[in-house]
Amino acid sequence: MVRKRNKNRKKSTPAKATVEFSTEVLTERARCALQNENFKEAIGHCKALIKDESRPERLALLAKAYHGRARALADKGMHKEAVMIWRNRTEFCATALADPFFFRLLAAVGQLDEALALFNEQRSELEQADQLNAARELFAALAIAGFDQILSELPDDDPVLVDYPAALAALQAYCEGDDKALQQQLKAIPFRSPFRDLRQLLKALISETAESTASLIQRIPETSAFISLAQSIGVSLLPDEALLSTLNEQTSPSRSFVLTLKGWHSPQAFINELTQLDNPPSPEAVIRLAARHQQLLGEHYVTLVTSRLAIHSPNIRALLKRTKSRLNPLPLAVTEARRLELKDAHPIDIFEAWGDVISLVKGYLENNEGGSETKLILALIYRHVHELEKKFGAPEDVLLQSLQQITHYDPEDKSAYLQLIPALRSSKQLKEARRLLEQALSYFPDDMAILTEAVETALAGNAFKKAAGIARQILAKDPINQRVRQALIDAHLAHCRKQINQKKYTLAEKELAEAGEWAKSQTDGAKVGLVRGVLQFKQQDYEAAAEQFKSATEQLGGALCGRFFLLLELSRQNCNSTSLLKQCKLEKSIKNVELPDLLALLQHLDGALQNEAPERINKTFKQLKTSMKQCARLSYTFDDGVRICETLQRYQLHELRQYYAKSALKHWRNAAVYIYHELDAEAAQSYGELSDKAYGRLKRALMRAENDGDKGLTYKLQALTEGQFFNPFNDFDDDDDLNLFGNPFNDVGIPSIDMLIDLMLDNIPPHELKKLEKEMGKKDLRQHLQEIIEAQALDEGLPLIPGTGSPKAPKKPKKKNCPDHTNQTELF
Amino acid sequence: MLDPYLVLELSRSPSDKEVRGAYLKAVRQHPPEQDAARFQAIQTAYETIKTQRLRLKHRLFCSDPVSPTELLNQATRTPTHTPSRSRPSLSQFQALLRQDIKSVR
Repeated sequence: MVRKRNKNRKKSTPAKATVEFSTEVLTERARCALQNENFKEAIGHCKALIKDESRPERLALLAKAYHGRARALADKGMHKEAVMIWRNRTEFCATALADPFFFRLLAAVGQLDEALALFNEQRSELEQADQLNAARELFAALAIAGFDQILSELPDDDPVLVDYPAALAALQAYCEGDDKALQQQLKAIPFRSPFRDLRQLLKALISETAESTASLIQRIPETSAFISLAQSIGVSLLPDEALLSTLNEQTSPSRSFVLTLKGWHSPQAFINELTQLDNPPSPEAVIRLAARHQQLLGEHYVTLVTSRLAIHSPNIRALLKRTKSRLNPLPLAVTEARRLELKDAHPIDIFEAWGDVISLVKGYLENNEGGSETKLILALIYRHVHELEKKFGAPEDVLLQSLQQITHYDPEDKSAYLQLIPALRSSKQLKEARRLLEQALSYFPDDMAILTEAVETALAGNAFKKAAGIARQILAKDPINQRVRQALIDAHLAHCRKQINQKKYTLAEKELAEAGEWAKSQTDGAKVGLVRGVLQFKQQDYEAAAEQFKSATEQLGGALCGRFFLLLELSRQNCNSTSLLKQCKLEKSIKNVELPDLLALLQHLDGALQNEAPERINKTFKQLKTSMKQCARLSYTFDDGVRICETLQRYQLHELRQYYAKSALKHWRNAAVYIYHELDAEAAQSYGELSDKAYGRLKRALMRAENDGDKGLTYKLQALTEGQFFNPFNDFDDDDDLNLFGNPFNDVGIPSIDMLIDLMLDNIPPHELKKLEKEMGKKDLRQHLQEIIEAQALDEGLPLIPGTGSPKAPKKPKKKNCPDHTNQTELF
Repeated sequence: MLDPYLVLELSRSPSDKEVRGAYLKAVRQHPPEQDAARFQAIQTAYETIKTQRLRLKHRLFCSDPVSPTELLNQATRTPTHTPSRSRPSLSQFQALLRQDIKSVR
């Protein structure tokens, strides 16, 4: 075949180029080329030099260049070409043909007979060149590899043949697991044997620790004929992560050898595929691989892996289809909901997705599927939803509902009781709090935290003796329990107030003495002092009372704090503050309040006063309105300002909150959080009415909050902008499918008047609703709303289901959506 | 986080007792003074799956990324495989040495 000449191909021109250079330059260039492993170029320069004059050093340089070139070709797998180059080396440089490297090349091209003949012929030359042992070692490795001609071609007295039987027997003994025979055979291999590296490796393989194996294989030189064995054993010792990446670079026999050494027979196919994945692998590739090897990895694990990876996919169902994998309905629904969470979807979408999960699990529960775990799963999902609700700033009642669901489905969830019982107490649902407490105590009768809740619940229900009794029980076991100590003091003080109210002053003194015994802190002492002051006031000892009040004020951290606690105490005991202040010759208003005083008050409100009735705190604050307004001028930090606004919001002190927010906005212009507080407080005072200008400010604040990534504030501002109509916190319980954001229309699509009345009532702010109910009466209010709805329906020609005008009755549970899972035995 | 079942060398549906047993065994094998990182991983794994509630939570909500090493561990830990080192056959030794001739250096 005539090969077409490529005209564009550049000719290699080392010879031509050399003509133009002096011998010194050429020598330098040849050395340089050798150093840079440009052997072809080096050969060209050397040939030019020899052409000029054949000198021994030039021939040695050329021999080096040929050697390098032959090795480079061998590395590329061009063994035949390498053999040719080696022969040229002998021809042009008068070097020995026999060399372990050349024998290996011959073996690689299937000319082992020639190698053996050459070895036998040039044994003395090899010995002179100190290459005899290396050549023998090569033949020893080839003999073990199964090249039988070595056994027939070598002379009988050659050490390879002499030691071969022992070496092979040792290897066979190792493979068969006969360590005793192995030890015997190893002893039969002499120290200077061509099989000495094999002996070392076999010792390494049977050594007991990975460290000793590693140290033994490190002694095998890079040039050893058994180096591939040593390297493979080394790979098997690598930690898993490094092993995986190294396995990918190994030849198939080496990989198989390593995997066998690791004891990984069955997963070989899987590991081979695993090593071929990209780094890092794409989720799709991993899911596909896991699905293919489900039997090996286990169904549970494959499901877990699939859902863990699918969470990040934009379309889970499409991904499952593409990867030919599957997820049961529950993990699929959970993964979808989690996916929405991770991609920061709108809360409505996230809560809807979790609602679907809940419906699904409830369906399983109704059909008794999934075993005992189903209730626990439901509780865990409610717990997750509760955490999300908290994250998105859900209202208290929504948070309470999810906590109630948790205790319903998982009555052993202690943390849910510990969150729920205090919340129920502060929302005055004492009956429900007691029921839950009883339930909690049946599971955790000796738990200190639950017993502490029992104390506080008893206190909230004015069962002071009971509270003190339980508190003493706890303190007997846990004397440093600060919370219970506090509760016990509160119990005695509350009982004392009761006695003062009934004018049983001696008994009140007794209770005060009991409280004083437990009151070790300054604040507790001050609280006892205030009650004592009121008692003294009631006993008309005004001077002593005034002293008590003054001392308590100092102990409580300042004038504002002291006055707040005093007014609160007077409110608790239904005392007229004006007359008391006058009789005790105390100043009517407080002046020169300092920042630490204000912050101390906030700390009390967030701590010890958390259980106090919000209405009482609200009333007390109103008495201190002037002083509080003065405090707005103090130079507090941004965070303290927000904390003040939040506290005022909690106690519905809208006017003060607006004042503080406005004041803060003078320092931090356009701060979204203060705009929210200012306008939310304004909306609360004007029944939701806001001016267009205010809406404009709200929208700009919303944009800023979104840009800052402040999700909580974003949703609050969104809710305010949308006129409170935004609420992602649906009640997932299908038993109560009437909610503000649900569909007020019944199954046939016609709205019921009762539903619409409830909807309207739910839309009225609680304080306004209370006012209206007081003015009109509950029944008349509903009647009035019914008339409005009927009139509007008449105007617009809408059909309505007549209402009863009575409050909504609990609905019958709906049939849950039950998925098609006829063959499913487990939920996951 | 490393897969807790792999860290504690547990099946995918263990009982509380089995988890506790595996944890104690792992702690005995890898005390903190020998391998602090491993000990920490064992602690974390135990805290993640020590009760049925936690195991279900992990199963429902775990969204940790999946590493190839974790897949390898899962594939090589199942009871059908021998966890200890095993021995290659004579033919595997021979194949490796033959392969070596082709990679002449």
